[in-house]
Amino acid sequence: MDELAMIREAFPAAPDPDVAMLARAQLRLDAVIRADRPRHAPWRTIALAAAAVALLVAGLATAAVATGLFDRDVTRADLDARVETVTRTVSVCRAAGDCSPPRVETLKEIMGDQADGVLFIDPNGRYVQVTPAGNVVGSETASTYWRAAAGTLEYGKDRSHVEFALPHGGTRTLAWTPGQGSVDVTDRFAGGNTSQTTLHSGDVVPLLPDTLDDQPYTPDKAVTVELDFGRGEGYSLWIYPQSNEAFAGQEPWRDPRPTPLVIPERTVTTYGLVTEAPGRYTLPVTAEGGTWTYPLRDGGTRTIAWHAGDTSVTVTDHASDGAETGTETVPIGRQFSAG
Amino acid sequence: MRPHNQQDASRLDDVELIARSFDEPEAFGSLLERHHRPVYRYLSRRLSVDAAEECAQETFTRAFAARGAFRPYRDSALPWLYGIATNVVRERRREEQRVLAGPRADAVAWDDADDAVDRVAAGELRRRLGKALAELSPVDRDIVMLAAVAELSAAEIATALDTDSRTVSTRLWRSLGRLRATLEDQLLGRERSHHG
Repeated sequence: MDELAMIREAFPAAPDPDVAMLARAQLRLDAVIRADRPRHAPWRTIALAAAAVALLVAGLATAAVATGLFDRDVTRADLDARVETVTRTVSVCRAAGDCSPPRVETLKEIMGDQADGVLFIDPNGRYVQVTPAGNVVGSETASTYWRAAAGTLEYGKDRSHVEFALPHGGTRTLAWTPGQGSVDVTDRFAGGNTSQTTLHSGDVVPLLPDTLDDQPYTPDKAVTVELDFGRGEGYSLWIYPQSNEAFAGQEPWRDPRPTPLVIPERTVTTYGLVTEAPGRYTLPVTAEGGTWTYPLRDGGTRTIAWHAGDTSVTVTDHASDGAETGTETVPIGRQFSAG
Repeated sequence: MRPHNQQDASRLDDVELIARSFDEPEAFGSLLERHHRPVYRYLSRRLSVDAAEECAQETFTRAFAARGAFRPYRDSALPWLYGIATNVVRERRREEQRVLAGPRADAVAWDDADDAVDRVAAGELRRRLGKALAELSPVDRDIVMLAAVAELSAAEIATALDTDSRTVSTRLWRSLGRLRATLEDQLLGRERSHHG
């Protein structure tokens, strides 16, 4: 036996990955993909085949009950509770033109949402997203701050963390418990002082303290609404109640995109967006503020209202019969799905 | 956004798939479905099972971020992915050294060696090989492991490690010679101790 064969024999491979392992890998990749174009696509659905169904059923049984209109600590059980059964046609290719016959698979899918995690904005306005429920970190590849910190990222079964350098020395550590919904932020300053705070699903905050103060339109100053959640799209709308403005499509804190991000007409119509130019949208706003009502998928309606100069918006849901089903005040620096 | 067409994507080769992923990032998911298994199995030979799963995930997220620097080998992305996986292993040297140093606690689950004598012999072979591999330089060890457990050709290893195939062939030949010599030394030392 030659040396290479001996090594192969002495170091055997583990059994093939099961579907749950593949789904976990897909989940993490999807978060990275999504964060790379976070205002354009929701998490791709996560396929879980039949063998994982038992786990999902267990997740359903323990799904957390949401308080208010929006979950503030989205857990793995919440993700699992969104499981849907779908079918798709699959063909596996060994090489171009060498593909197996298409076969139809029945899969379990979960649709993730950007608001499932905490969204950090780096000093250049790029995104770093931490979603403890899925134990994933995603970032735009253009984030130099993320690239500098990526080597410190450690995923653990009980605890995961990543560390960023603070502008004037010291470190900021983001740590979370996989499957839970909160992120602990610990700053260790160069002088030896430390501070700690806990963030929750849906928070939108600067990645590093005091680095976005001179940028009026970064999304930590907005209430972000993710449109068309669950329908394979996922365009964002930013409401700035303090300056009484609203934007969708082109991000107001960034240079214009080379190619305008055109929102489908169906979505524009559904949400009553006003098209100002290709890829630039807003809401009807008066000098006093805005009142925006759109249909919910369950047949009801949601109204989001604000007064000019406010630091929050009021979200009120009504059922199809007109009865109010819930209301919540959402401050700036928060995001949620349109529903 | 154009919806990602799973069926269409599965008919593309790796080069086409990665090209498409610049317009439709979700297409990269098909690359994971296609290559996760061999990458995970490669990593599971070099690391613990838990670390292999984690590192396989890391390999594909890094590959997505680095797809602008994709190096195809013919139409396949697999050697390039093995290269990224190898870089991830390099960051886990301590974990790798543990695996090389002794019997792995997680090996029982897939150990087919029912016979106790075979099991002991396999353990002894592993111990000796692990010691010999640990004495190679990290780059030489990567080349040997890519050749042995991923079964890549010199040209594929060159793609994986972004070097040239002549260098790979030279280093592989030299490393295998060292492995052979180390194993023979170990064997002779053992025989001497038995006879002594």
